[in-house]
Amino acid sequence: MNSVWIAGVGMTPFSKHGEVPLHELGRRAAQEALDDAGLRYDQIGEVFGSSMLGPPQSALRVARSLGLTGVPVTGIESASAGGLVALRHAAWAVSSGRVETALAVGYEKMTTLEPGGVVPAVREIWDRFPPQSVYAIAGGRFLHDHVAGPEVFATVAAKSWNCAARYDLAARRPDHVVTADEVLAARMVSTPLTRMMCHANADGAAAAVVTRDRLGDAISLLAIEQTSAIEDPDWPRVGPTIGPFRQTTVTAKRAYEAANIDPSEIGVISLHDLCSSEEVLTLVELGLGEPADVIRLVLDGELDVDGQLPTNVDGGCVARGHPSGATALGQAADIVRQLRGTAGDRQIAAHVHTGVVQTMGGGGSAAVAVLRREDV
Amino acid sequence: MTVSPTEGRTAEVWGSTWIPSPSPIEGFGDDTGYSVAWVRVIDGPMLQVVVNSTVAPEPGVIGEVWPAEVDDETIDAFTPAAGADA
Repeated sequence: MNSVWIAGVGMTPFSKHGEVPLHELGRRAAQEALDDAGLRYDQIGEVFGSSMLGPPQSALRVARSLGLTGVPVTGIESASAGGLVALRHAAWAVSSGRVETALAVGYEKMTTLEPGGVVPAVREIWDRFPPQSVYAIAGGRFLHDHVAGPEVFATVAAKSWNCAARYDLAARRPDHVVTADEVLAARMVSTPLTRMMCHANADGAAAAVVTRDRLGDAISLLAIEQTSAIEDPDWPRVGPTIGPFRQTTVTAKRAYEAANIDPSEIGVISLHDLCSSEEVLTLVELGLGEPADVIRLVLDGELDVDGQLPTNVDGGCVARGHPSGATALGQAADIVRQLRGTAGDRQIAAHVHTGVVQTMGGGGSAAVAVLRREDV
Repeated sequence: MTVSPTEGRTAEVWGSTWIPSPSPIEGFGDDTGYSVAWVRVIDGPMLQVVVNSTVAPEPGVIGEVWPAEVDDETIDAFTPAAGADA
């Protein structure tokens, strides 16, 4: 992929938006991203919109609310991965030379279904089971294999809650310092995962403007790779709501190779954490440490803002919130701001120049993006 | 629900979870919840199964996988061997 830039990002609060129409959420995030990039909508060459539950042609409604410019608009559905899938399409639209600018925007209403929105049908028996059970089984086995206890997942979750407390766009903002003990004492959802280790449903939107030319304090999008579910003899073919965790390894390796980086260069991460166990297991799958190393990072507080490997310092799905089709673009927005040095109270160390955004969507959709601040 | 226990295959638990809410499948679990597990069929595939027990089986527990028919669909179920340390 030829070099492209993320010139602007935007994000609404991830929270309950009640009567605000879905397309208006998308418009707000997109307009913020355009303003951030210093561009007008009529300078955008192509639009990619992501939603999981939105009515048909939601992407067009978002685009129409921004202007009637006649550019191609494409709607994307890829569950939790949809935001990065939209960003990948925008990146390739620019990289290929087809257009000079493209907009990726994700929007979702999870707490109040948009009129005309899609209610997922129960298609098979396993659809009746909570999606957290997959992360619970895999997480429980991880603890078993590495002689660790649920405090590992509780510590990760507490970190995420406490980061979200300092993020004005987050869905869950506690008014006190959350401890691992508090997380462990919360209602059990699926052993070993308590409610405070599981994602927060939220409404919201997020957007990114991709450009061929470097504008302002744009961040370089070095690579963005996407895969669908892979064959894995250690992963049941029927039942799990997602593809194997190993799929993240495959996707990340492709992204690292395309970006020509080594994982050791990565200084900040935003990853998909439907449950806090996923955060721990995904760090391993991203090649950022052996299980024992990752457990040590967790328990030593090294995933926090001032830690060795800041991870999900926007609170992640657990506390920032998870408006499915918008989530991954919200992740990208935070990594862009972290690399720019504009993340406020949650700002990571200035020397960090490379960040990764990872997502895993239901059905077996995965994507990994590598971002870099190029002036370092 | 009808079951076909004679079609059982031996399997070992890889991992499991206990979900403390009513089971979506009658006959599995009890009032306090139910268990879902991943089991490795001996010389066969890894399966996601609903557990025919009132506790979540630990990794390494041996038992039998069998097809349970629920609402005209078939789902893999697992019964820990008698005396298995669940």
